[in-house]
Amino acid sequence: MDNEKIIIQKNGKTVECDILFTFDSPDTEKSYVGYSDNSFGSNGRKNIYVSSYDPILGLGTLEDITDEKELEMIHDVLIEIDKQSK
Amino acid sequence: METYYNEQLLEIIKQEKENLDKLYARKNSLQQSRNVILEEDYLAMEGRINKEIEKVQSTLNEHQKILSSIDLINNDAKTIQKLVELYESEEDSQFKDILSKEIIKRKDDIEEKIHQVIPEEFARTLEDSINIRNLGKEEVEKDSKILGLEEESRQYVENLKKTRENLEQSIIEMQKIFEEERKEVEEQGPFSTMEDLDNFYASYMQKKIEENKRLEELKKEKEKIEKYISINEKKVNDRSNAIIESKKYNISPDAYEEIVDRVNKRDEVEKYLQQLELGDTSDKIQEIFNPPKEKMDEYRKKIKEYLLEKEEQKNILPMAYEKPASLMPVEQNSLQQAPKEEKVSSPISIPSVEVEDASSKKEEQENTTDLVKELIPQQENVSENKNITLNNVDKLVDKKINDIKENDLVKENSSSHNEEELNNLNNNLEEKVEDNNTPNNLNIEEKKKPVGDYGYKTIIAKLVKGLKPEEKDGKRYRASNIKVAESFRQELKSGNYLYNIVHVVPAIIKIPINFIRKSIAKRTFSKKAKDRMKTIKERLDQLPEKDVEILFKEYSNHVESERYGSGLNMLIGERVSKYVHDKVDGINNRLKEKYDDVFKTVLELDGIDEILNDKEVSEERKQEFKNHRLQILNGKANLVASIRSDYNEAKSLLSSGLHGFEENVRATDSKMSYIGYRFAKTPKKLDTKLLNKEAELEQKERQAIKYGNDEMALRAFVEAETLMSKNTSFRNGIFGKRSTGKKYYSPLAEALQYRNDPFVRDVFSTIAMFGAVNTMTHAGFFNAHKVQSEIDQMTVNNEKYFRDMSSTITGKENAIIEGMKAQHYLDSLNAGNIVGNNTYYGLKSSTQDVYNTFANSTKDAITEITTKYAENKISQTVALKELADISSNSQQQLNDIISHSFSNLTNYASKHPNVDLAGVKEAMDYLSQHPNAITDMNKAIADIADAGEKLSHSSLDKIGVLNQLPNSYRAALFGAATATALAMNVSDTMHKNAKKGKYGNEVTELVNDYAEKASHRKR
Repeated sequence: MDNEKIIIQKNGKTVECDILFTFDSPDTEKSYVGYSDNSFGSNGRKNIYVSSYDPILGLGTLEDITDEKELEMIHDVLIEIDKQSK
Repeated sequence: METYYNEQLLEIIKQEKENLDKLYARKNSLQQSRNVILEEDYLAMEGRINKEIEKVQSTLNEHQKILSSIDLINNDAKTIQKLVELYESEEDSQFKDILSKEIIKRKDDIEEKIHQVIPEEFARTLEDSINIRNLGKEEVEKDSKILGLEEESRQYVENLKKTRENLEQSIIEMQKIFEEERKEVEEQGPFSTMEDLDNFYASYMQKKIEENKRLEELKKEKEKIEKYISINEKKVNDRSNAIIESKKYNISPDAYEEIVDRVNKRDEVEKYLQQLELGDTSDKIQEIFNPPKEKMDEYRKKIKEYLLEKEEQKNILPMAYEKPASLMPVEQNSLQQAPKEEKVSSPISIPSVEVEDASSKKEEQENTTDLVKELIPQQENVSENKNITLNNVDKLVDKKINDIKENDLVKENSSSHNEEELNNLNNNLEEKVEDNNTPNNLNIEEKKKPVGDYGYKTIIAKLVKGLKPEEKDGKRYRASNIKVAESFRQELKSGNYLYNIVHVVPAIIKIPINFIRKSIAKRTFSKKAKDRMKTIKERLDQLPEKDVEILFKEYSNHVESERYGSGLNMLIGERVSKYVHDKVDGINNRLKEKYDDVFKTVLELDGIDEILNDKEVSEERKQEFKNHRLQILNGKANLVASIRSDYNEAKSLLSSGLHGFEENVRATDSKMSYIGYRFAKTPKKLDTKLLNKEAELEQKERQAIKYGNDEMALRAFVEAETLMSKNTSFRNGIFGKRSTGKKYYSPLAEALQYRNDPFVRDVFSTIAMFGAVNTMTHAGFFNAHKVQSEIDQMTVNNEKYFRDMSSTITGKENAIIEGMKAQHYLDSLNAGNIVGNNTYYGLKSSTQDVYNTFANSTKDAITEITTKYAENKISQTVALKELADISSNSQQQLNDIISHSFSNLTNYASKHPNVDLAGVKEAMDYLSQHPNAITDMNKAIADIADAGEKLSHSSLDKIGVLNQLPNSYRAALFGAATATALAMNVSDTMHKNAKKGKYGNEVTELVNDYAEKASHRKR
């Protein structure tokens, strides 16, 4: 987990992202990853990408998260991570 | 149709070629003049000519390409022309049909090609020139009629298809809009840490729900259109087929369709007869449809003998109901299928409830038997029915097929039927038939009760048939295997950043290999659960209205006792909600019409009254208006009454009905206590075997009630109740009783109030006491005069506190609970900082802050444990252990404070002569050694126990000396002491009560007794 990188294309440039957290969900049959290129948004906040991927196919299958129940779960997970980190 | 070429296009091409030649000529001429003109001018002119050549050449190429396509089309047109000629010369009608189809197909192909390949202006002229539109027009029109492709139907289908395309386009556009909106939101960076995330989450969810709703509506519309298309296309095809085929037999298409319909039904009859194993049935079919009188009786007799023989082969056990007290109708099947007034006199006895365990053959035989009986006239009515017509047979077959379809519901859900009981039931019924003429007979019609043939158990058994839904189906998605990078954990801990969470995937170039995880087993499980939910939902959607009404009216009263699991309850809840809202919409529409009627009448009356007051209107005329006035007023009182009654009906459907249903489902899902018991976990899998048995008993009971069979009703009731009791169990553990069975049976109707749960109630009441002490400590120290008034106020406050907490927990408001937890962590952290920085000892913090540091953190910690327990996240054992831990920690904290602060107090006391240091030390020691003093005081205040008297003077005297301390010290000491006392009190009380088995009540005891008695009665 530590020092794992995802490389993305951003504004025509290749950018390395640190993987921050991962988790699985037996209900959605997917895994999820949170990663960041350590860039900041216009509001001064740090950008974190959260995507889902197929735990079997793995490589190159990152997908948008659009399902509301998935978002609920991510919400729960982030709260849990935040709480445990304190 | 002599010219096949597009003259206009040829003319254009010719012109273009000429232009091209002229341009090349100009170019040659220019080249020859190159030496006499300026090079610069030459190049410019040559460039212009080249451009012109290029342009003309391009257009020419395009036109030549079109010309090639036209050549191909012309070839097709020639072929069609040949086909048309062939069609005209052909005499064989069948071959003519084939030809006409081919002509139409090719004509359509040509037209399509023209519009696809040829630009519109040429296509038009092309069609004119080669006369494609008119090609075989007469024949085509004729063929259209032959094939039954009525323009109207085709047009309708076409329109539907266009509508579908428009809808699809709308969906795509809407999705684009939503996507853009989403991007906008994301660019604004709505996410931060928890609070901002919550805000974003709420607004996103709202938007998402709205999007989904709109998309769903569009999709539904699309589905509807597709359905119409499919139906109409089938109609067109069927009709085409009918017309073609009907020609072969020289009959009308209508007649042909009717024949096909009858043949289908006849096949159905034949199928059933074959299943009766009566050998070759073709003759019998013939007999049924054209029954010769002499064979009819013989045939009917054969069937009867066959069936009776089958019945006799069964082992008939001793009759359960030896002397029926009342009557049952003669035949169970007829009870379900025949109209109410129909009395069946056949002695053939057939069980009413089909048996899932029994072979399907048997079920079919039973159905077929009825069918045959219906098809063959009854013996005594032969003379009337001997001339059975095809139409009569049709009607009977139609009726039978409908009956079979309707009874599928019952049939599919009955299982493991006890054959012995069925035999008993048959015998019982037969006896009743025999007794039918006795003087004691009661009229069946009079004894019928207004109940249905089945109830909610039967319906739910149908819904879950073959699925075995599990308890966790339909719940929130779960996350597992959470892994966090240490760097991120540290970053969160530092609190240095706020975050935007973006859930749109950027362009990924590379992902590490070790992202591949193994969760195949979990995937399978989850997929199954989803499929189950989907299937149940589909079945619910297809449920007839009357069944949904049964669920609404009956199941809502049994949600808590059935324990079907949250997924199933959620789906049933959704369906019931839709049903109720639809029903209310209907009532509201009725109300609108009635209101309209009322106001129209009033306006009319006003108009008439004006006329009646008009002196210029003749008396005769006035009399006419008076009569009219009476006429329009007639029945309006009933109208008003019906408005009131409609309104009440709609309101009760929503408020007490639907709302009550939803509340019961919510209470069940939250697993909070009802009637004194907390549930253990809901059974993981639904026991469908048990459910089927219950469904069977339910039907038996309903039938008995409906037809006034008192004893059978009673027996079925007792059996069903006993079954429930048998499957209800309570375990006596060291922490009291808990419901652990598949069912939670209670013969009494009780309100579902979580705070009747003694465990939760005790925790909350203790916390409420703490709140009261908190108030009093700040108001002053042990003001005896205030105690009584505080008691009164506290009683009121406690009730409110219970209600508020009830609302919080039963509503499972996650946000609030999470907020409480977060607050607790924050408080804990702040407490650590204060102690760590020693600001507390330096008296820098305000009294309120210092006190709250201890008080709130302890209270929140206890609340958190209670919440987790209430949500069934932890067991009672764990809850008690955690409470004990808090108590222990608080005690340690108190001791530490006293130990550390006493050295500081020494300095303080030296500068404040009024402080009795020795007394303070003694008081502190007392507090440390007797933290229960305040607990006892709480009890006295609440008048819960008689402990109040114990603490009366000695404790007050000992603690009272601390009043001389500065506020901060005093608040800190009492805050810590009170928190310690609270934790100790809660922990001790809960342990003691649990050991006494306190957490149960007399109602649940009654259930046990009842179940036991029912069991004895059965034996």
